[in-house]
Amino acid sequence: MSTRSKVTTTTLKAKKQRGQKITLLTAYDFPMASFIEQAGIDVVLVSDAVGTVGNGRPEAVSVTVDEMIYHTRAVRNGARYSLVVTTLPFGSYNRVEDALHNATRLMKEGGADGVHLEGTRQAGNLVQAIVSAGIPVMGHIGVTKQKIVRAGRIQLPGRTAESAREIIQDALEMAALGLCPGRRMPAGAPGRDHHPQPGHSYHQHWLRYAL
Amino acid sequence: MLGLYKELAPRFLKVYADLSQTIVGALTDFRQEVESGAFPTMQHSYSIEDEELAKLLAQLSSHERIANSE
Repeated sequence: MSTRSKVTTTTLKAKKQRGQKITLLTAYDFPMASFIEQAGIDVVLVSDAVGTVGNGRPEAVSVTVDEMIYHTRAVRNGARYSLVVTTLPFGSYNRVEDALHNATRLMKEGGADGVHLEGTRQAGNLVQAIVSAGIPVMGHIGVTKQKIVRAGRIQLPGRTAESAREIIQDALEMAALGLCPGRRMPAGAPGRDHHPQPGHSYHQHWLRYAL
Repeated sequence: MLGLYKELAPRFLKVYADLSQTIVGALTDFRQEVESGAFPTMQHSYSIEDEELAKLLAQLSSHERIANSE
């Protein structure tokens, strides 16, 4: 592993251009992050699922930016080469000022290499602001955990023509903003990375597996 | 004790398991299967009904269609 170099968004883009798969796993602490890095996974996602999976709470809405910073620091210590991407938790990016402030904190105080948000077309201006500030953003389409507040449970989108089309439009918007590929995509949803390809099951395109 | 931290091995500690080897092995298998396309399969996926898919394809704009063919 002595020749191993740091994974960057440039590395990921090159992989995509070569048609190679990009791997991503979730971690909240030092030991798991170091195991993921040893396994040669490209990206470690410090997800707000730390609220449920990591801390045993019934929900992840309560997760704070400070908590995400704490966990990102632990993951960073275990993953020196993998790209570390941290989720902006619920309510931390409703306005452009908040999105910029909190994304910057995750980078400076947490040591993240980029941020992840559950952005749809409605979040386009927020994404643009963060990207303009020089912070890489990982988009996210399909299953949106943070919207659990509205539905009461995690819904599986993309099973109707209408819902699938919304996902395609979200994907196109994210691609137009230059985002790197997102994660769990639902039925009939976008194909190769962020280029929509209905008719293909999204099974080829899952990037994230929570541990 | 569970073999998670190999760097820390004080004398008073007895190791009962080698979890780090098990975990890194599993994660490496995962990475290799994703890279080769062996995982995930339809068994690990949700898909859209044919009828809804036909409806979707009929609705797509030319812009969306161009993206599909890439």
